[in-house]
Amino acid sequence: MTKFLIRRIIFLVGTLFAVSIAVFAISELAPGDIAVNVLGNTITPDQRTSFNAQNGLDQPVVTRYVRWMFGSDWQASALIGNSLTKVYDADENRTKWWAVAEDNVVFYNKTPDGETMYRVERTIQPDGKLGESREIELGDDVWTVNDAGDKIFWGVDEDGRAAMWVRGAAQEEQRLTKAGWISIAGAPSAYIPLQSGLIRGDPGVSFITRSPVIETLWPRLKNTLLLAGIAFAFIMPLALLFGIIAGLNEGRGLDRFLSITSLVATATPEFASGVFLIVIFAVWLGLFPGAVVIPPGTSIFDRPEMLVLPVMTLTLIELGYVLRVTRASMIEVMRANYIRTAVLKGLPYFRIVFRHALRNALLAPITVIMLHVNWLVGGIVVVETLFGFPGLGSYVLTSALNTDIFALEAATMVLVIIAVLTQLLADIIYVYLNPRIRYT
Amino acid sequence: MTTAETTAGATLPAPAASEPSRWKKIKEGLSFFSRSKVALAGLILVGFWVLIALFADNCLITPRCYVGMVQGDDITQWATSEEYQSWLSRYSPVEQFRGRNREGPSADHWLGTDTRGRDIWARLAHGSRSILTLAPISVIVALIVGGTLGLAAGYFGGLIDEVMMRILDAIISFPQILLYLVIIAALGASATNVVLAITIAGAPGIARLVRGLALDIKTRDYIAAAQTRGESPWYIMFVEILPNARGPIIIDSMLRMGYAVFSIGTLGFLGLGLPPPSPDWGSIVQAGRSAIQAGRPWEALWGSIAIAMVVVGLNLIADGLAEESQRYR
Repeated sequence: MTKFLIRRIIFLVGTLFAVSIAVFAISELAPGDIAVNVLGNTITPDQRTSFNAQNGLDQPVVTRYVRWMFGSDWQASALIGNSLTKVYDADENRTKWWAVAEDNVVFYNKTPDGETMYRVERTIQPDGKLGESREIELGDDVWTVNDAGDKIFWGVDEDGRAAMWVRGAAQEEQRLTKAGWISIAGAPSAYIPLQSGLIRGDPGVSFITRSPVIETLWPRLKNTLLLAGIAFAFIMPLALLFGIIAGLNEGRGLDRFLSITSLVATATPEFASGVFLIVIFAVWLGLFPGAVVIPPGTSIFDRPEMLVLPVMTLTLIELGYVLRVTRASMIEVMRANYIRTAVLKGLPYFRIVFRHALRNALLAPITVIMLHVNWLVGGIVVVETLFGFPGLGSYVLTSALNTDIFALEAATMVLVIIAVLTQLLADIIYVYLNPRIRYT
Repeated sequence: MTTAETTAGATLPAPAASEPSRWKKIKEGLSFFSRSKVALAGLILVGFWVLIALFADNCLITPRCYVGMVQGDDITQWATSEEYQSWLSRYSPVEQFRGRNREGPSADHWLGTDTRGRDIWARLAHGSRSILTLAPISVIVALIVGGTLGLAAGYFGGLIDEVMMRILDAIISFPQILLYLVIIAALGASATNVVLAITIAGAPGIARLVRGLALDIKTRDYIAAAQTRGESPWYIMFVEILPNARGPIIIDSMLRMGYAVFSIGTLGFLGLGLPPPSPDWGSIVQAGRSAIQAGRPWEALWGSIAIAMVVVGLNLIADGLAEESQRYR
């Protein structure tokens, strides 16, 4: 069992890496320019080059993948010679990277003219806030000579990127601010955008919203897990119950009715059944709200009736599939020889069903339910979009539509990890429930 | 059950000396629908929309209309041309009736009008075309790709099989909707990309199925005979194995056809389908969604019903087929 688990986990990690490469490749190599997409199609070539350099988009794909997956701070840290850290700046209301000078003192570098380097230091106060800034002029000896003979300096710039300044190069930086495009003198010649990498839980900073993806992703994930969890809690018992009833009444009217109804319910796309439910329950009967609106400062729990229709839609689509598997499994078990023996022995019918048949009949549906999480993910994207539910599904869709690649990649990876983990769980449960199977 | 068994027994092909005529084959195929009520219901649902798609306008007798369809999803060019005549659709799908926005069903407009005052019935009738052509095309392309991969993996075995199946397993472990989203978001929304996305998502499943069948069939004597004759592996795969594996593949394709319609509709609903003004069913639902809460649910409602009809119909046919094949076993 341990051996099987280890092999499965190694395979799982391999799959996840393959998936991450695929996701990255598809979304990054796609036609279309991120700079144009973010800044609009009126930008000049200069502005685009500057944007690409600042965000590391001018680098080869492999470099960008490594930075996205494993982070870039360790590369930059080696060049700068100081360790780097993320600090929340209350003034700017954002978290950015700083170089660490000594205990509780962080700094960034700047140069007004490309000749004199300055270090701007700030102290981290005990309450986590940043203290007053203090400018220190650095001497000539901070410049080092590189292979090409240029005098260079690696540091962290004002925006929290690792940057390389070249002495005497009158580099300009194009930057879009609230006041429009400005060009800043004394800008670095090369940049490494800092991130600690997906593997360490940092999927990067969104190009569109300019805030770390993890901050927007996490609350969405919690909402989605809540929705899916509630739906699961309804689907499981209902589908198993109806499946067993249908299986026990094989060929009779009740079975026909349950089978056909569940087929129709499962075949109907989520958005169609969702529209039917909204029209019936929200518009005509006015029983439940047809959309999920969560004003800031409130939670879903303040108005739980908003969840009724989304959960119902998910239940409809998932119910049929599990029901049919349970039914088929129940029919098969009831035809087995040991059930016939139990019947001939004169055991009461309910005892046969509950003590003898049920355990074996539930084997198939339970694993199928776990394997069906992939399908549930699809349902969640559609249902969340239809009802305006602020979850991971609608997050994936909006980031795909806006080509917000870091957000799209992160959300995709989270959903794939969930899917793959449940598949592993299904395997383990299957082995546990079925003593005839022993993986080695 | 008992009646079904007796009829099934009666129609078992008798050992005839000559090949049955084509007419007889068709008749046998149709008699399947009279045996299975479920399949018949499915046939009616799908057949309705096939008829509508064929006779929505005079496209069948006007070759020029195909050019517009092939060149892009721009239906305006064809629907505003002089040759255009509405048949079953009653109105042009792009004609806007002024001042009649978002009306409910009436004698003039059987299903009502949409946000721009276009006749919903005309839009649905024309929209049936794209969905009823794209779904079979994408399933056939997925069948060709997946079938070839599965046959090769199953027949050759060994390292090819192992590597191929690991890769396909990885694709299968990927939620399909994400595959669609990532592909369409990266490549843009168009008919070709919809087919591409459905092929990539569907081919691994088909490959798995075909591989399983090929593994079983390649142990038969007639394969050994063909190998002794010195036939090439590709001949054996496509001429000996594939025709003998057709039963499960046909049932699977029927299910996949339903799923392809499902997916095309979903893509349209998510705003990733055929670009406007194409009367894509999913996009119709998407456009009408915001008006539901305002008490004008017609556009979204009819669009949903149309898609549900086709998907449910295809699934019912597949279900009937599956039941039928189990009966013979």
